[in-house]
Order: sequence, then C-alpha cells, then structure tokens
Amino acid sequence: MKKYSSLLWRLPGYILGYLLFYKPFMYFHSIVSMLLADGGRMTKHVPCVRIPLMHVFDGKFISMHLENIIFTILLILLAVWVGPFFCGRLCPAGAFGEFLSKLLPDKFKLDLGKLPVEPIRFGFLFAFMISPFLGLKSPCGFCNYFAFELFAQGKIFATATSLMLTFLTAYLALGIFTVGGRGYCLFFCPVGAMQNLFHALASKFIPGAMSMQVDKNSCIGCGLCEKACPMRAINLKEKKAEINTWRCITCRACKYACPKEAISFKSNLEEKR
Amino acid sequence: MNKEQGLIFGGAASSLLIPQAISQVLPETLAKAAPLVQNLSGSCTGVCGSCGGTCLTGLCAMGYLGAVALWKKNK
Repeated sequence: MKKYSSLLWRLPGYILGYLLFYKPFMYFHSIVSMLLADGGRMTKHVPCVRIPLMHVFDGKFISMHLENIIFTILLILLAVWVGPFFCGRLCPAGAFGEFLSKLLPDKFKLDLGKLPVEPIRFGFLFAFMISPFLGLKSPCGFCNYFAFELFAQGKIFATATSLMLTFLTAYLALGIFTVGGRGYCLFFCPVGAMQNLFHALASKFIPGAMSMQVDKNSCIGCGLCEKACPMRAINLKEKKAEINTWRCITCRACKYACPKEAISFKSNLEEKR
Repeated sequence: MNKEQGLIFGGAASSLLIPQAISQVLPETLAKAAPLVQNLSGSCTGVCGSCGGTCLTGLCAMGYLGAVALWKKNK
C-alpha cells in the first residue's frame, strides 16, 4: 500500500482534473463560459497549450476561444510560479500510466530516465510546434490525453488506428513497462515539455518561483526519492539528491518518500538564504 | 547543447516530421500497408496520410526512442 500512498494523496486532484477538462463534465469550460458569457466550445483542446502557443506565432491566438486563451495564460503563469502543476496534480492521463506502472515489479521495467531525455523531449516538442508551418497536419492523433478520454468513455477500440496505437504506446510500453510509468509525459507530451521549459527557466531566473528543493544538510543519500520519482528527475551526486527542474512535475512523490524530510517545495529566494 | 545532444534533438524532430511528410507527400509508398491496418481497425480510412499519418508518426517516434536506447546501451 505504501507505494500507492503518494499517488492516493494526489488522487482527488486527478479526479478534479477529470471533472474540469474531460467529457461529459468539462466544468472548466462551463464556468468560463458562464463568467464571460462566451458561447463556449466543449472541446478537449482547451488543456492543450501547444495549439494556442503555435497560434501565438502564426497570429491566430487572439481569435481563439476565450477558454483556450485563459487556460493557456493560467497554465503558463502556474508553470512559472509553481511548476508543472497541471501535470503533477490535475492530469489524469499521466497519472493513469503512473498507476499502471505500480502494478508490475521494477525488475520487469525499463528505466527510460537514463536516456538523454531533454534533447529527445524538446526535439519532439520542436517538431510538434513547427509541423503546421511546414504544411504538415498537426499530429493530434499522437495525443494520450485524447486517447485517455476515449478509453474512459469506452470508445478507444472503435476509434482511429493512430489513437489506439497512442493508447497502447503510452500505457503499455511507456506506462506499465516503464519505471515511474510516465514515459509518455517524459518524452512525447508537448504540454508537459512546455511547462517544464517555463518551470526550469523561471526557477533559475525569476525571483520567487517555487520548485522542489533538497536540503543538502539533511539528505542522507538513501536514494528513496530517486526511486519514487515518476519522472526520473532525481539523481544522486556525491550521495546527495539533486532535482532536475527540466523534468520535475512538482508531484511531491519525493517529498513523501524522504525519511528525513529533506525535500520541500519552496521559493528560490528561500534557497538563496 | 553539445554536438551529441544536438544530433539527438535533430533526430527526435526528424522522426516526427519525416513520416508525416512521407505520408502526405508520397501516400502511394504506403499503399500496401494501409489495407492491412484497415483490417486491424475499423476506423482506419485505408488511405495513408488522410488522417494525418499519426500511426506512422507514432511508430517512428517509438522506433527512434528504441534506437537511442540501443545506442546508449551499446555505448
């Protein structure tokens, strides 16, 4: 039961995320539409920040629906201030892979975190962003967020081959058989990559930005946090844990795994004190 | 970013862009595979590229990930 404890602690957030952004509920859309008297558009594309950011470059951003604009601004502000909050606390699609991964012992899984994650991840993000400018169709069938929605509605096996393939890729190869279960988040999700980009830059350059931090004096180098991290964002260097903000989704699994309470979520101003 | 990271970055981007380009610009190259996929899934159009060619993109992206993993292991 202990291995599920951090996930169970986050479960209410993922249920809230499902209610806010997934059909048939989509309460985020309903609330924004009601507050702004906008016509509303019940679409899964609202949590996709890749589309609005792409439209920042092609000049269509302002003509997008208000839900998209508000969500994009909120997501970026959150990523800058508190990190990839959406990934760590609200996205049920990512959490589902993490849950599945816990069903299998680690000896049957691949540790994809040892690969050069950042160049692969941001290479995919770059391709996602520029494909429409090259006259190519946006690869939306490669979206596990969409695939998870279809799965939750029981429609995944009656849908496009690409989405079925995405579902199997995200939850079998990159879920059950991957240490941490967030292989899709780690490599392919453009929304997660973008949030981590903002988080990593903000925690370095913007005073007051929050991030997971290790108290080096309290850290005993036991490696429990490294094992608990679903994003493989923690490495031990000279028997002290180091958190990689380019991967960390601030889910706090490491904080709950640490026996010495050496990991906390705090502002970069506190770190410098 | 060093040279190795640059190559990995470029390879990742290419593994998404090239299959999409092939499926849209030269759909006839996959003409034989499409009916097979259509038999596996009722929702497949049977015409490669018409849905965006994302299944091919997904396969290539996973293939690239596997190739990098293999290269890292051998290294």
